[in-house]
Amino acid sequence: MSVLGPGLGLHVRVSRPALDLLSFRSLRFALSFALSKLRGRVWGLPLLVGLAAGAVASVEVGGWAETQISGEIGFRDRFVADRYVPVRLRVVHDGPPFTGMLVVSQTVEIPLRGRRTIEVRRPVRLGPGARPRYEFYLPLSPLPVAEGRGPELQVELIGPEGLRARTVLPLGDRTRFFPETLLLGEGSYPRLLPTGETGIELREEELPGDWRAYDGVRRIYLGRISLGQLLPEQKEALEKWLVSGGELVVLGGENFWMQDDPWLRRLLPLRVRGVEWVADLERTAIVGRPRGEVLYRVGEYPVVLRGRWGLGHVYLATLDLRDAGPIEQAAWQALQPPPPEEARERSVASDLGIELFQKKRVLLPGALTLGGILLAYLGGLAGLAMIVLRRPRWLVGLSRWEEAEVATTASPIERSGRGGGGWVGLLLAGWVLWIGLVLGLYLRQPAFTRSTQALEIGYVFSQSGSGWGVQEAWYSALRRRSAPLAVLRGEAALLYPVEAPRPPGRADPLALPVRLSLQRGPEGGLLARWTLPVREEGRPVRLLAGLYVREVLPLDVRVRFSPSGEARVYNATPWTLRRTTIYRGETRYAFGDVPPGGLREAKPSPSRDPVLPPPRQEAEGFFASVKTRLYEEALRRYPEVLGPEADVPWTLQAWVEEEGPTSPWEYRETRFLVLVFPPDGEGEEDADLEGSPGGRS
Amino acid sequence: MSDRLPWDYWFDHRSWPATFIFLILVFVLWGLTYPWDYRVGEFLRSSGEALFLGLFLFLFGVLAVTLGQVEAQLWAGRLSPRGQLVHLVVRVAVSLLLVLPLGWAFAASGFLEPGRFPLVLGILWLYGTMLACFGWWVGRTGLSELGQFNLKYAGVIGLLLGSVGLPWLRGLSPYTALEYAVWGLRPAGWSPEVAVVAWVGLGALGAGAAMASYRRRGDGNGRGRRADLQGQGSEGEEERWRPST
Repeated sequence: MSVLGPGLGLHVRVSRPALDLLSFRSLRFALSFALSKLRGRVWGLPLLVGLAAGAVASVEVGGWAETQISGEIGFRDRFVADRYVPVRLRVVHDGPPFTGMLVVSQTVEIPLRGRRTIEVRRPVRLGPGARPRYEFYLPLSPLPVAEGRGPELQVELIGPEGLRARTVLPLGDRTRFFPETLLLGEGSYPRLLPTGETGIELREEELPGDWRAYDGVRRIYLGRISLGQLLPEQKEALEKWLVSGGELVVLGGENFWMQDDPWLRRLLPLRVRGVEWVADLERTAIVGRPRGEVLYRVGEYPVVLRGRWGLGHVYLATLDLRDAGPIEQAAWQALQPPPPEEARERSVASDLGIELFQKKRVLLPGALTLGGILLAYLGGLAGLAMIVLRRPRWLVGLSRWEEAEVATTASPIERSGRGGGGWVGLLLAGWVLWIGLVLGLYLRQPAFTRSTQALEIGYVFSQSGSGWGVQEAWYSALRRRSAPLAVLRGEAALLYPVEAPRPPGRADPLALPVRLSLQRGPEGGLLARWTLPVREEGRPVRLLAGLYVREVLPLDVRVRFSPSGEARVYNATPWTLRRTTIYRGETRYAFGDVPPGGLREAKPSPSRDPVLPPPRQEAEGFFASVKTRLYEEALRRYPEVLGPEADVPWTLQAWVEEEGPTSPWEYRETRFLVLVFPPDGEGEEDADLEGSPGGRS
Repeated sequence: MSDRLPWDYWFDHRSWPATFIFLILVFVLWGLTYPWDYRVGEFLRSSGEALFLGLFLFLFGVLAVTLGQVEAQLWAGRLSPRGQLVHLVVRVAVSLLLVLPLGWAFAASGFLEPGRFPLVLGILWLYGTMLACFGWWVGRTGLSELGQFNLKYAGVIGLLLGSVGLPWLRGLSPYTALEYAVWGLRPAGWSPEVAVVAWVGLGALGAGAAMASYRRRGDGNGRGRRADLQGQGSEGEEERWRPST
């Protein structure tokens, strides 16, 4: 409640019951008391009326408002540590209209690194009696705020006049350390699945419509659920999660009619013909032609299949495995997931980018070039000085007598016009000015004028024909001056701050707080702003900022092999794909550089090694080591689609190499390894490459 | 005496060599402190800029005092004391202008924001003018060349080290002022306003002392430039008064 009005800055939060109490009981008592005391006095009534008018006016001018925030974290109030977590907030606002900022933030102390704050900001406009709900996504840490204070999440509503409301959500007992399993569908699942998983049961309407909410989810079971009722954004979120490495398990059976949906059919590792009674199984089951890997079959009949979708997998059990029976038991065994540690390891943020960036040369003006320009400047100035000082004699044509005279006079060219060298002087003056111009032009290059030098490296995986690509990137930036440090990403990108190493020899690493603020950019997208410390113990410090980014992008690279053995590539990405090569068994197709929207054709040539050729160390220097490390990292994380053990018929490998200014304050160098692999069983069937928009099917 | 001079009077055979030696030394200093081949990891730990700024302040301080000495010795007979003061103030500004490309190259290595250039120049100009007034007074003391040499370096080094080491002189520190101009650092107990007032006060003290010497001894000291201009000076006498750089 604003007691003195919004502009006066005195605010008291008074709950509504308390206000009612004040309004009625206390006010009635005070009024009757005052009347009894003032009755019969001449000035009593005017005083009373004045006080009442003042009270009414102050309430009217300042208004009163009560704002409460309540929240829920993750799924069923559980969250997976260091992953993006949905935070659902409900704001109850009574009072005059309010415009401000809702800020969800977490501050943690990271041992030997420092204090880090991640916050997500969203502008809000609350009308009288508003009860809006908001969903925020941010990675939550199980680390404590400070010694003796457990992990917590802060929610603040900030208005122009300051803090309006604040809530703290403790996180201590809600943390899980391994990715979750979600269970969807009518009927109950057993508390412990035969695969050893314990899941969280959700209703259809509880499925988030943003793929970031699934960051801490490893597997989703789809039981008897009507997929036709899911919203398009829920389906898109699920597909993005799948493409980025999720596992969708469809429990089919006779209730497939409920699940059946064109969206699901596209994902399934089976071309569904229908639901029939299968005599071998003595059950009603889904029948069709497999297009993925059959993990378990009874006779000729496939019971559990697995297909690849991006970096993720779709499992289909043609029966509803929640029924009891020996076939179901065996099928559950086929669905056994890998150990949870492996799933966690795959997408955990690392500081690979910062590690490599520290070995990179700072983009500075070349010392020799700059030194040469400055020497030319000094030379011109020296020549000019000699002209002005009339020395040496041969340069300006002074006589011996004149030279002797100028040596002893305060102004050697006191009598203007005497002696030569006027045109030489003019030439030298022009030279000095010209050198200044050259210096200016040289130093105005974006690589030198931008206050932030950044390196973005990573890889992009795409399954040809899926229309999606998964980008994993390490972004590192060196801020040279106290300029803003911000980076714009896609709206639904997962951004994890990576702690930069502190300067050596620091006694107290916690004294350098870092704040990463995420909010929607002015023209869309997600804007990440860093607040890095500028100084330490009074001295300026330079710090690195690092981000690990995962993003699912609309992306398409199409490949077709002709019967004559040639291959064609259509590039529907926004990048030029450099040194594009397809490795197909013992054959290699080299396409060279393929521009955006470009179509290239290549003939096969023999290849001994189905991997990228080693980078040219001499030509690429630092970036050769970057590419080698990137390739090794991709191979370590995704051996199933890359390298000698890959189980895909072909892989397209290319590099994205870009550099230049990306904003008034940033100069960025980018290197991405692009890896494209075929869809299960359909990799060679894409047709009509010319003019293909490359969009999603 | 006149306060109006033809344009080429700004170039004399004493202040030019001093300025030029200063430029060459700054160039060498730039070459020594420039991050020639820094990796990002090294760049984070390097502190070449502090060394550059510290030594630049010393070199510029010496140049400013020298300019003051030259002013006292060369122009005493040609300009009124007030004209000499104006001449001196402008000459310090011209020296700064000449060193600007080197400062630009320094800024390009990432240490200085271009937007802070005017403030840095302003701070340096005030600092240089204060020391130039001190040099003007030194030139008017009538001390021998060696005496002036000692006084000049004692003054510059004393100011730089004293203002760093002695708490009661901290307000005068040109290094702190330059840190404030370059990086926006403002240590507790130091304010730019106090520094400016102190510098202006010290400069006024030096200029006042130099001007007072004209009252005591006329517009010259009977030696040096005035006699030279009239063709009566001796080369040996002039050499005695040549300011050291």
